[in-house]
Formats: sequence, structure tokens, C-alpha cells
Amino acid sequence: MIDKFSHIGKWHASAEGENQDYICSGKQGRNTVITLADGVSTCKESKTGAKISGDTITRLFLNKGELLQEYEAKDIAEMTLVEILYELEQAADKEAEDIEEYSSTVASVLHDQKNKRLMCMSLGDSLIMGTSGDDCYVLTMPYDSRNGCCVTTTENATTHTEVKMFDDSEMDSVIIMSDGAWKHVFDRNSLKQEVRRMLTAGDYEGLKDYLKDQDGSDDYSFITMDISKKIRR
Amino acid sequence: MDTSRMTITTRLESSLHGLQAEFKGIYDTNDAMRAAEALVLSFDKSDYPTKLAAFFEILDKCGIPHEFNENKKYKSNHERKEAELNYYLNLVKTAEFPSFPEIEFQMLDALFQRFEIYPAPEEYMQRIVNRLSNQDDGWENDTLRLRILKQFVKYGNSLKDAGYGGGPYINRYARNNGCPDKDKKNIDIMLSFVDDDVFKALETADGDQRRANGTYGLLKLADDLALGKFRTQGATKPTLYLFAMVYGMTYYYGEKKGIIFDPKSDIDINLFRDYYTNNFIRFITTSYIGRLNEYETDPSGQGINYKNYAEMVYLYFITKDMPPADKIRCSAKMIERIKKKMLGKAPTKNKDKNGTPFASRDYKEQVYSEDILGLDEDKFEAFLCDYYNCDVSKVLNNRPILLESSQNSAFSVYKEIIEKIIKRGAKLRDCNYGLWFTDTSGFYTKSREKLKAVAKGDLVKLNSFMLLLRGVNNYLGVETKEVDLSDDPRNARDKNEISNAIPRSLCIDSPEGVTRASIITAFYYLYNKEHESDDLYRTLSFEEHFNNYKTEADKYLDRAHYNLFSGRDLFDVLTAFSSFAYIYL
Repeated sequence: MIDKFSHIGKWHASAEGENQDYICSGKQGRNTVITLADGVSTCKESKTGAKISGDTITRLFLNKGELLQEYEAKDIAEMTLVEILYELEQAADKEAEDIEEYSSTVASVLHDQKNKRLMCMSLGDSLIMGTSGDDCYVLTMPYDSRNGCCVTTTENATTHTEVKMFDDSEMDSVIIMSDGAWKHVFDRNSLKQEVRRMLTAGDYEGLKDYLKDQDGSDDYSFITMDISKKIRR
Repeated sequence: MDTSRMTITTRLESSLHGLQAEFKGIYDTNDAMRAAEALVLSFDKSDYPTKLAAFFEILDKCGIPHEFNENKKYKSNHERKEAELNYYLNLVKTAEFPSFPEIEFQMLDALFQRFEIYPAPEEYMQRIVNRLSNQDDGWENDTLRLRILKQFVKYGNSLKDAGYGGGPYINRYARNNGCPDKDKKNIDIMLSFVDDDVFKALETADGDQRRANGTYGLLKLADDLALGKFRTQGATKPTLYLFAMVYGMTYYYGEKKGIIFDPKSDIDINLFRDYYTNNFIRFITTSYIGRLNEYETDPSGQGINYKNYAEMVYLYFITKDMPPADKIRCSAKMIERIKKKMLGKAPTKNKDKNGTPFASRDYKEQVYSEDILGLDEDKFEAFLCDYYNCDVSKVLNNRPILLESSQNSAFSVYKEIIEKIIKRGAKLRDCNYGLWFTDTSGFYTKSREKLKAVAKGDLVKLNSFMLLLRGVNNYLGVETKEVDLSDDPRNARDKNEISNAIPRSLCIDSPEGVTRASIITAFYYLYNKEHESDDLYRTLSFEEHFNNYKTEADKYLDRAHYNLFSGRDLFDVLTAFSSFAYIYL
């Protein structure tokens, strides 16, 4: 089961802008993919760029996920980014824009039920977490964005892309959160207990209410996927 | 550059980028003439295009337009090419290339515009306190030292459990300032009657009263931390851990349940990289001017010492979810228990199967890979006794923080660099020229007018600038006195003695003495020696030079377990800039 949530933050709302977060998912055969991409606000076409990046990685993971898993992490990152950049270039050329205007972060999780694997990939400051029993685990760390965030059009983005594999029996569920969301669920470096309880219980409605109450400045989004049958909704 | 609205991070980035943009290359008239001569010699040869490209690069970097636009008709391509060459030769004679003094001025000016961007420790401390304070306390308008003091009082139980005095004095001060008796036990109300004048007592306090357990110990601590006054003999480090506890700082040590790396509260980055380092800017703060012998002048830059059991205890409790006062109490008790238990005793498991003592990196890896900070308290304490040297009988004043302070890996790297310098045929007494882009010994005499031109009337800023450069120069090299050799022959002898002197930073003879700054100093002389005759390196821009310099320096710094070379560190930037000047001028 997949759950999605995305809400415009106060910054964009007050400036009559748009929510720059894009979430999507896909299912093909025994593969399921969830994806979140966050457009760079200062780029003109970032919302489009986020959509293109999100759709590209989702399609790639669904169609070629099994094959990709044979490769090393850095090669998976490179092959994925090549695809994304190709699509972004096509869009940019069509509109006679610079490709940088389509910049976004992108994070995705493939659940390959046939091979019982989870493949997580993240470029940028989104967070991928997994739950197991009563515990939550950070699967990919958000990029340290104090000196600027690494995005799809950043030079050498491959070296800053995290790719991790897990046995699907290790996790009950996974969640991808945009930075506008996860910053509200951590108290400095620790996940808040009430949020941990929500995630491990699969209480995503509770999480949505919690995030709405925070009324964050940045757009806040998450997408989740149940892996095992243990999650009780 | 309006830096008033910029964060520390963006200011530091803009400073380095500004220098890199401004110094795409250093070329003077001689460089242009040499390139023109090479052009003449290669005329009609196959390498003429290459020499022409090199010539153009010099003109471009000096901002001299050079397009040959003559519309005259020539009988042949060869004739046109000859005319073009004559045009360039004439350009070299008539265009204004910077002279050596002009380049020196440009470099000084570039640094003068930017040096105040680099934060003093006080500014880093202000940032930490602003980020991590509880907004509900309402102390944001208090001075920095007062905020820290109140934080210690409210959240750290006045650090009584860490052996600090000062609590009773603060209570009395509040009462004398109007705090009603009935409210004296309400800490928020009591603290609302404490203002910055509480620190006046320090002005007349004697040595005993200023000690940690003295009447004003806590006040002195808050004052020291606020102003970046680093004390000698290991006194500052434990206070950083206590500070980290009361401000709820975090420590990231690898993938753990529900834990992320939080750069705003991380103790390693904020306290040990940004704040407690050899930040030369602090030498031009009022705390340090004229009082250097009171302070630790060259903090090692080691960061967390993973071989020190007391620091491991502090980290253990920092990672625990408990109130700050409990962290302070429990850590103090554990340190003391271990100290008593292990006095005169050696650890039993601090060597590998070959009998080689574990190195710092082994201890650090253990923290990351074996989750020792996740052990129960009893097991953790037992672990420390087994694996760590906890015997304080041979350290100064039996202070646990001073145990295992030798940096064997760093010293090994340092010696390696020194040996390489010598193998290159350089004598260490020749490695004393310090900053190359200016002669600090002339600051108060022959260079005075030049500096005043740089300052454009801002003599206060100029004074700080000169103090800073002289401080850095005295660390990197040996400042020679300006002497009149026609006078007393003793002046000539003095000048010879000074000019043959070896900087102290190149004379370190023990693992306890090595520091990050000393390794960077040694590397500075090695790099200059390695590349001083390299024509290829002379053509690089400052950005290219900086990147090469950093790549090479990081190979040593990484092995020494120090922070890598950084454009955020003023000392690093000045040495790279000076090396750039040395190679190209």
C-alpha cells in the first residue's frame, strides 16, 4: 500500500507560488517504486524539472530495476543521472532554456518483490527512512546543504548520490520525506518519539495532521510504501 | 561587498571566491616581455600558435585587450602575420602591466578588503548560542557571556557537579539586585535579576577566586567561552563538553536508529572545527592583544581525542537522552570513578594480537563500528577500563583530559614533511621567510605609506590588519628587524641571527607538540620548494593553485587526522595565497 502527502509551504503560498515537491509511484509486475523530487525554488522550471526527474527515475526503476541491481552503487547512480539529464536536456532544448532551470533533488525506492530487495537512491536533501518493528532507521542521509544542495544538474552529482540496497525482510515500510517535512519530525538529530510511533504504526493520517500543525515555511511532502504485511493501518 | 546580511558560511565562500576571481593570474611586465620574446623565437615554427596562446593568456589575465583589427590589405599571409607580431611587440612596450610593487599592493588590498569577514571564535560561539538556545528563556538581548552563564545555571545546575563554584555568588547578586526572597528558588525569576554587571567581580578577583572551584569559577568560564579565550594545559577542552551538554549538542557516529547528522548542533563541526582551532583572527581581538602568554596560542586542531577516556565519557553522555544536569553529574562521577579505580593500573586490552598499541584511528573506528557508545553504563565503564589508559598518576595535576594527548600519527606526518624539505636541498633556516606577498618587518617604516594607501584612511582597521599579518608571519616565519647596517655592527649580527633563525613551528620534537598549523606551515615550505621552478605552475590562476595546494595538503592532513585544508580558515587561505605569490612573483 502506498500513501502520499504534499502540501505547499508558507513561502510559496504567500508569494502565490507553486508547490515545488513532486511525488509519484508506479507498479509493474512485482516491482513497486515510490519517488519524491523537490524543485529548486530559484529555478524557473523547477516544478517541471522535478516532475521530469521523478517520472524518469520511476520509469527506469520499474523497467530496469532488476538489471540495475547487478551494478555497483556508483554505476547505478551514474546510469540513473544520465537518463534524468537526458530528459531534462530535451525539455530545456524545447523551451530554449538552460538545463539548470530544471534543477531538483530526487529520491526513489524500488521494492523488487521477486528478488526481495529494496534499492534506495537519493540525490539532495530528502530523507529515506525505514521502519522495522518499533524502530525507525535512516536509510539514506539528507545531503548536508549548508554550502548549497547537490541537485540533478550539479557537476559531479554522481559522487554525491547515495545508493543503498537492503533485504526487504529488514523493513516493514519505507518513507521518503522532503526536507520541508523531515525537519519538523526530528528534534536536532533524533526522530521525535511521537513521530516514531506514527511511522511504526502506519498512522500516516496522524503524520499528515502533525505536519499541517507545524505549518512549515517550505513545502512538505512524503510518500510511503508498505513492505511487509506487519503494518496495521 | 555588503556582508552584513550574509551568514558566516556565505561570507567565507564569497571571500575565497572573490580572491580567486581577482587573481586569475599574476603577471608583470617581465612576464609579458618573456612571452613576447618566445613569440619572436617561434615565428615561422610549428609551436608559434602555442606560444601565441600563452601570450594571449597573459594579456587576458592582465585585462589588456589585444585584438589585431587592422583592415589593411597585405600581400601575403606571412606579411600579415609579421604585422600582427609587430603589433603585439609594440603592445608589450606600451601597455600598462602591473609592476611588482603594484602586484604586492593589489594582494595586500585584496586581503585588507576581506580579512574582517573571517569570524573570530566569539562569532562562532554567538552562532551556536543563537541556534541552540531555548527561545522561551527570553535571553536573546543579553550579552553572549551572560546567556552562556544563565544556560549553565538553569540547565546545568550551575555546573556544581563538575566542580564549579559561582552559584552562591550569582544567587546573592540576584538578591542584591532586587530578587524577592520568596522567588529565589524560582530559577527563571532569579535569573531575570542577573545582568552583565555580575561579571564585574572578575575584574578584582584573585587567582583562587577565578579558579574553576573558586567563588567566580562559573563566571570566568562563561566569559572565556564567549570570547574564545583558550586556556593552557588542557583547561578548555572539558569546558567545551560541558557547554555541549547544557546546549543539547549532538554527536553523530554512524548509522543508528532514528538518528541523523544535524550540522547545526553537531559538536565536532561546531565546537572542534569552527570554534576551538588556531583561529588567527582571535589575536586581533581585545581579549588577546598584549596578553598572549595567558592563552593557548596554538590549539592542536586535533578535535575529539578518541584515545582519551574522559572525552569518551563526555561523548557517551552527550548521546544519551537525559537532562543536561544529569549528563554533567553522571559524566563527572564516571570520570572520577574510573580515575580512582585505575590509578597506577594499565589497561589489559589496548594492544592488538601482535602487541601493537591501538592507534587513534582504531579507537575512532571502534566508536563508529562497534557502537560502544550504545553500551549500558556498566559495560561502557568496564570497556574503558579494559581498553583505555586511565592512569592519571603521571599526568600534570592528575587531570584525565591530559591523558594520551600525544598525536603519534600527526607527528609522523610532520616529520615526513620536514625530511622531504631537507631532501630537496633546502635548509630549515632558509624556511623562515614567512608571508611572501609582503614584508611585515617594514610595516612601521618603509611600508607604512603603502599600507596607509591600502587602508584609505581607516587606520583602526589597518592596525588590526597589520597585527594579523604580523601574527601569521611570526608563526610561519621569522620576522627580520629593519636595521641600519651602516651603523652599529651589532645590528648586522642581530640581523644575521634572526635571518638564520628557524621558525618554532618547524622545530617541534615531540608528538605532544605537533599541531595542525605546524603541519600546514611545514607543508607550505615544502610545496614552495617543490614548485618554485615549475614554469607550468606559474601559469595557474589562484583558483587552480588553491585547488592543487589543497589536494596536496589534504594528503598529509588526512593522515594526521586533522581537518582538511579549507577556504573557510583564514590561516589556510593566507598560506595558499602566500604560496601563490612565492611561486609567481
